[in-house]
Amino acid sequence: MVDTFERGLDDAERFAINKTNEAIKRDVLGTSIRALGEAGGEGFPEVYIDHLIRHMRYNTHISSNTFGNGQMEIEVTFSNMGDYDDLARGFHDGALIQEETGAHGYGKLSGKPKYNIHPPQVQLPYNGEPLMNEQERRQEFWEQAVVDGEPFQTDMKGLTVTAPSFGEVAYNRVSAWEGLGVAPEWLLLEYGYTESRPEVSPVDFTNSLESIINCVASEIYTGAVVALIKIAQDAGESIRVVGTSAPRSGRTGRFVAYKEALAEVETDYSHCLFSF
Amino acid sequence: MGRAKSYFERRSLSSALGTYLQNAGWTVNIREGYFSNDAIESDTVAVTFLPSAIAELQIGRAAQEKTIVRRVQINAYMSNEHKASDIVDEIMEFVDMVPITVEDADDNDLASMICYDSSSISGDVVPPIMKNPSVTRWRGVIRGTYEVHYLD
Repeated sequence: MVDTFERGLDDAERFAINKTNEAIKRDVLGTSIRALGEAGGEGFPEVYIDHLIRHMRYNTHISSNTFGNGQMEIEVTFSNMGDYDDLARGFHDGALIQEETGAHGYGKLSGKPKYNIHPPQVQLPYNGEPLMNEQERRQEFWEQAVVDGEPFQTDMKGLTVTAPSFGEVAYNRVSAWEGLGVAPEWLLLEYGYTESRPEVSPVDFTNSLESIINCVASEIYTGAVVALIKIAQDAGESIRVVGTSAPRSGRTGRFVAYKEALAEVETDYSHCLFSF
Repeated sequence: MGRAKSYFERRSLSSALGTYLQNAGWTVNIREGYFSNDAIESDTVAVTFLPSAIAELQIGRAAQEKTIVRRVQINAYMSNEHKASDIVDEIMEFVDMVPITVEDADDNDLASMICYDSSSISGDVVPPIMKNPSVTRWRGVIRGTYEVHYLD
């Protein structure tokens, strides 16, 4: 009879872990990230949302820890999310580079004369090359040509250019970030963005995601408790549930979900107290 | 009245924060909300509210009372990293230690606003994304969870 209960405990724990893994990776991440991404506004386009979902599904690590007394925690960690340096490498797409010139006044990068009308341009990811135009001029180009889609009069005599759309630029950014193996656009949702249009609203990304995952994990664990009680009841034992405690969550930079459910099971042969 | 609640809360919090920073020797512009049609000049501190919730106690709540949980984000736009880092510490202290009295336009007390949960307070310094900006702007981001308790 003791063996049955111990197997039941192990089965319930495995059941809880597997179900939580599946639910988080398959359903919860996609749905919640899409909702949070859309709350970010125009500055967080569909291509960012899709990339973030893909990346987080692939880079989610779920581990469980037991503490010998039946307590268990499930830890959800997102890796390789990227930082502000990674985010910055997705900017300045197509910006003109101020290239170094050699002894005869030809550009070392392009091999062309210094004052050619087609200077080299940044190809993402941006590696910190010196830029030809000042920030103010580049901002003007961004707002008028990229965001508003209007032709732009350059400083080069007679030359008017049209720019790629914001959607195309966003696509290029995602390609660059994907190549680097990161998804730093989560920072835009976490802190918001107002350095240029279109802006992104801050949506408290990590806190919101933590609350959602914690809630899902709690539901899964409750299901596991019910399953275990059924196992014991089917074995003919009487069961007394003494209560449940509220789930806790803590912010650690990873997303950790806890659920404590306490059930006291008395049998003729053993008295085991467990919580998970 | 629902819209007016958050308006007065934000106004009262901004006012208290401005006084606190001034007394601590800071010279900053204080404004409310996240977006602005005006350019954000250094040094500016902006108070904004993130998604909120109603707090329900396990044993229920009294009919005439209401508690709202406000997740607050305070953005401090500063001209260099050092100043951003310093003001983050200052504002985190403010969030942790200073209770706010929410007042309406006629200075009537409406509610009390307190951050009970110190572990909900976080502070980060976010660098500028654009290289070679004309206006260098580092951003301190401070967050905390307030409970706003209305008596009626």
